[in-house]
Amino acid sequence: MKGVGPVRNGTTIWLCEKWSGEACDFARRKLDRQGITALPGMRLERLSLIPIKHAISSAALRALVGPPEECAEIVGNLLLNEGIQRLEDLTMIATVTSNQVAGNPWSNANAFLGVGDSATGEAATQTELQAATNRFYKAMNATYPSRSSQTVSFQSDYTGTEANFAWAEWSVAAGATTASGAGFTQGTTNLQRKVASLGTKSSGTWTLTAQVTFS
Amino acid sequence: MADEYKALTHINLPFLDGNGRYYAAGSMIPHEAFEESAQLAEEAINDPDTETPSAEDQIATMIEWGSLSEDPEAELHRDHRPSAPGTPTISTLIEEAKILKAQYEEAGEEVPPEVAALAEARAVDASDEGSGASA
Repeated sequence: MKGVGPVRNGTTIWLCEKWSGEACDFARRKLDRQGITALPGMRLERLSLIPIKHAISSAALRALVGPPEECAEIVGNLLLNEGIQRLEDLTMIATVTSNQVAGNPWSNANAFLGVGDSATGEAATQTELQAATNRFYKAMNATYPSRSSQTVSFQSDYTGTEANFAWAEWSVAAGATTASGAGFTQGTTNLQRKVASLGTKSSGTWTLTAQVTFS
Repeated sequence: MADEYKALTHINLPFLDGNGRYYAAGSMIPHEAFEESAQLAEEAINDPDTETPSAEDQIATMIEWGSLSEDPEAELHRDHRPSAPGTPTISTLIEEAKILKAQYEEAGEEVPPEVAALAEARAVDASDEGSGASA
């Protein structure tokens, strides 16, 4: 049978903005001089006040330091079957209300950007990042995800000691479990997976933004 | 070790051709492609603390999880097999059982236990299938 060829039409632009440990220290000193000792930031699934000695958010860095010192952009991903199925359950299965519950969408409270250090090839049947131990899922920054036309943007900050390893794979998950520090180590339902190299994080604040476009 | 493998799902081998090479479910992937991808991954990540997976490890993991096969006649992963429109699913059977149960109750008749059990079952969805690393 002839027909339309196989298509996986969810294109993602991944933007990784990097502020060094020195930039974070500079912002920390500025805040300290103004008597500010804590800033809003994501801890596990909720917005909390995070002491500036532990973390400096990208919002504070943008305001106090300026643009990131380094910015990497990588295009592409492989949509995972479990993510496609979740999208279908949420939007097209009118009678199966058990899937249309608050815990299932990629909402602000339920979406997580995960990074890991495995370069194993992408396969649509995968249900998790492939790193054995170095995996970290972080909750959304405030106001994310957001949508403009057919593009949905997700964004998370990885501060200080978070996700300090080689960034070789990443994904957007709906739900995350197994708390570790201010994040989690397991993603529940991953929309996609991308393998490339974004460098090795050892300090500072790195911000990952995923712009997912369906066409 | 085979010369080539059948992709039982959609696979993208990272770093080939710069940003990864896509193989549709059902296509054949030469062994050298895995070797080249693993080699390029090691060069790109270039971190002494990060162990990049070898081609053999990746192939073994993908075969173990049903994403790849040495058999060119192997069936695709069940997610990629075509399904006939209207084929009953567990979800539709549950919905039908709910309707049947309501009909029995409306008529004041006893609901057969097998109908009640099915009507109260939860649909099996993608998230019930398992978690943890797989390939």
